[in-house]
Amino acid sequence: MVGSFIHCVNIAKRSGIQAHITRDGSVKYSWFRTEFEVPDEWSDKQVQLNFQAVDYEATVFINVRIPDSLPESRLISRVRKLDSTEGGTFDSGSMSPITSSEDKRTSLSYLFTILPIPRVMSLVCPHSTVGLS
Amino acid sequence: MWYISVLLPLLALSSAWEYAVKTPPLDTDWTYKVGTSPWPEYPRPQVTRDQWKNLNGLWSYRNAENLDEVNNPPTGDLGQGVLIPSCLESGLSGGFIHPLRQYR
Repeated sequence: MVGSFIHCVNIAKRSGIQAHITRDGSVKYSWFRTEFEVPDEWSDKQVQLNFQAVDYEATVFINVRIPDSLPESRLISRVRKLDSTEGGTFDSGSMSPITSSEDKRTSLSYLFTILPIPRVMSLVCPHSTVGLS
Repeated sequence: MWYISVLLPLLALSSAWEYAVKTPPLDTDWTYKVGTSPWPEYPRPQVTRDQWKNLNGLWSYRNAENLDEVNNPPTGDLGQGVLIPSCLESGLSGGFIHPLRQYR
């Protein structure tokens, strides 16, 4: 079976790695994106996605709006925030972002379950790792 | 399954951008030795796990105009390369160098 990707996109502002401060001192927002393979043996298990050094606010999208040519079933089935007061789930095919807006946050973690099929995902953040929970 | 094995390699193709360290105002000998797989070791020694992947490396990047863009996330490659982790204002990030602020 072909391996899988994770694809996250993430917005952050103010202080910290993703801040983009312009000449006039205003703060811009940034998109970051990557893809990576989730090992086949992690299928059907809860996988933790961890971002470090997300200092102010980040919204993470996983496998959102993958190209039309790809079967929708390759989305991550579920993402749950580990340590946020906002909570939030990520259903397959959902556009719902997961947002952290707590000041001075330095690490974000998400749990998700990989469908037992090839999947494409997108992601954004610094110091990020993915591993079995 | 044939289309999967065809499409996935296409998706994995690198985009048009190329990453290169820029020369910052204050560089060091190590600035140019970081490479594109920075900080490969497991970052949280107190919560180690046997199976994990490091996502550091080259990501794609673009500015967002405002927070409303969160309602319409981009798809596909974002057009520019950026080294993760790095500070966007740094030479390591690959090309976003500009003065943080101007004081007088």
